[in-house]
This record gives sequence, C-alpha cells and structure tokens, in this order.
Amino acid sequence: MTRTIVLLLMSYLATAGYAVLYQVPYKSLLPVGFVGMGAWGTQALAASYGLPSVGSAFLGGLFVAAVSELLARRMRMPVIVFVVGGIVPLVPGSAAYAAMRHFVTGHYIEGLARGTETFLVAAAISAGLVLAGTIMRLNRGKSRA
Amino acid sequence: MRNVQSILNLCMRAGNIMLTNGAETSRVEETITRIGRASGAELVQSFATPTGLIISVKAEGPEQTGLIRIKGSTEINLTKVHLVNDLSRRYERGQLTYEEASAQLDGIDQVPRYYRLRYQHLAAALSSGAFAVLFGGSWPEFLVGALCGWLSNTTANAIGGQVPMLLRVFFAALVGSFLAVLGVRFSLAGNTEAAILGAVIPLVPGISVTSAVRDLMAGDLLSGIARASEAILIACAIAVAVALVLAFRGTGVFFL
Repeated sequence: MTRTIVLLLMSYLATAGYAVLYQVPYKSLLPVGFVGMGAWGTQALAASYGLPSVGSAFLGGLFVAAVSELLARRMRMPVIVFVVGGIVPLVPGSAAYAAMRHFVTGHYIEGLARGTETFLVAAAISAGLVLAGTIMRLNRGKSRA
Repeated sequence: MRNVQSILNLCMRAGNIMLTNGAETSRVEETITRIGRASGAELVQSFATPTGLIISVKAEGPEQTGLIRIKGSTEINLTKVHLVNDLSRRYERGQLTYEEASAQLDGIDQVPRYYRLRYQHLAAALSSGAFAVLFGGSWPEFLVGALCGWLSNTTANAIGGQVPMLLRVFFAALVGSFLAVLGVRFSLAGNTEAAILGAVIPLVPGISVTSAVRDLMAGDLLSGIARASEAILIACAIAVAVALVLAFRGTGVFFL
C-alpha cells in the first residue's frame, strides 16, 4: 500500500518534470502531473486485474486523451500540452530494455518477443489516444451545433 | 483593409513560431487561417509540414504565396505554442489591432525560455529519478537515475544544433546509460534496469509521438508519417546506445 502511494507520487513527479523539459505553460504544470499520475494508476490498476500489458496500456492511453481534452477545453490551452507529459509514464521501458538485453546476449527469439511487445504496447497507447480523442471531438461538434 | 504582403508576413511569423516549437500541423494551419481572416484576407490557405510551411493569401489584388523552410528545432517550447494560439483567438475577436498582434508576436519570439535553465536541470533530474523508481528501483536507483538523467539531458543540450538530432540523442543516451552501469558497477545502486531507464527518459521523443498521433488522426498524413518516423528513429538511437553499453558490460572494457 505504501509502495503504491510512493509510486503514484513518483509518476506525478516524473510527468511534471518531463513536462518542464518541453516548457509547458506554468499554469498547466500541476494538472499535467495529475494526468500522468492518473494514466499510471489506470495502467497499474488494469494490470493488477490481470489484463495483459497491451490492454492496460490501451486503457492508460484512453485516460490520457480523455482527461487532456477536458483540461484543454477548460484551461483554453492546446491539448498537446497535457498529452505530452501524460503519456510518458506509459512508456514500455521495461519491455524495451529486456529486448535490448536479450539481443546483446544473443537470445534473438526472446529479444524479438519482447521487442514485439514493446511495439504493440506503443501501438496500444496510440490507439487509446486516437479513440478517446476522436470521441471527445465528436462530442464537441454536437454541443456547438 | 491591409495589404496582402503584411497579412502574409504576420501569418508566416506565427506559423514559424508554432512549428519550430512543436505544435501539431492542424493547429498551425488553423491558427494561420484565423490570423489571416482577422487581418482582412478573403482567402487564406496554408500547408504546414514539420520541415516547411507554405501560405497563400488573397486580399484585394492578386494572390500572394510565401514559403518558409523550417529548420529542425533544438528546443521545444509549448508555452510559445499556447501563447501564439491564444493571441490568434484574441486577434480574431478584435481585442488586438494588427500592430499590437505583430508586436506581441515579436515579444513571444524573443523570449528564450520560460523555465530557467537551472529549473530545467532540476526537472530532468527529478523526472529521471522518479522514473527509476517507477521501473522497479528504490532510493539508490532514484539517486543514480537522477544524476545520469540530468547528465544525459545536459549532454543532449550541450552538443548543439549543428549535430543531427539522432546523433545528439545517441551520444546523450550513451553517456547516460554508461554512467548508470558504472553506478551499478561501483555498488551505488543495485537495479541496472531501473537506473538505465531513468537515465534515458529525458531523451524519449514524447512530443514526436504525440504530434504524430494527432496529425494522423486529423488526416495530415504527410506530417504524421514524418513525425512517426522521427519518433521511431529516436527510439532506435536510444535503444542502440543502451545495447552498446550492455554489450560491453562484463567485459572490463571502459571499467564496465
């Protein structure tokens, strides 16, 4: 439990720090951290229910895009400000690292397997972003008309 | 009514700032159209890609077209994207005159950065350390990750704009992961994976991935594919650097 809280705080810190590197507007810095924290929390929760990494990454991507669209509209800022930081905790770092480690030690089959996993997780995050982004835009179109 | 040349000029400057600072294509084109219309143009058409911008404006008289070649930017600044976008909306609502908009655009362009350099260093370090913990590390990995992440980010910035982006990222990742492995070698941290991942996190191409997805979503296929390939190449550069360090690990070469 303590570990979970520490990890949530870390995902907040990681996201906000990464966003500073891209010089997001000052006012968006606090919310960006929460987007990343929520994304990581969603992914971890999904994984704890036994969802495979691709599925939980997809849910994480959905969360990021949905919340970012809402925040962007409320704060009148480009959506990209929130998405850039938000997707970072979802980066499939462990799988990519494992793939590299297998490749350099000559275990090509395992390397390919983990490499494929990395690629699929990245694709799933993008799919989540696209799906939520598109749905939110449809919604916006209706409310304007 | 303003002459075509000055409208085109304002649109060009706004588009240039947005593209060099990491805005996605559809937003750039939308902003340019908004600024052009608000300045009194009958017709504004623009075609933005990550490497160039073409704008064509028609007011009274013949249509004029301008072109700017966008050289790859060294520093992404989303505050500038937000400010230009916000400026175009206020200009459209008539809260700004042409002269005010032009002056404010110059003001936005001249600010070098919105976060002081030392805060950026601090942010890189904290973010890297936090990622090391997220990827299974503990406090020792936090420290090593933070130090290496800070150094890899500093390396990437220090190499400068003359060196191609890919090489910059490659060398920065090499420095970061080399030091991370050294940290583990000298027992400062136990978990190599966490330390290395923390070290390379500031180099991850978050902006390319995000804008690639949004461009493809909006139907700007050319920009979307260009940015997606940028993201893939950068990711590969990081992966190759880490693999290189891992390959030397245990051989005793360079203290690894």
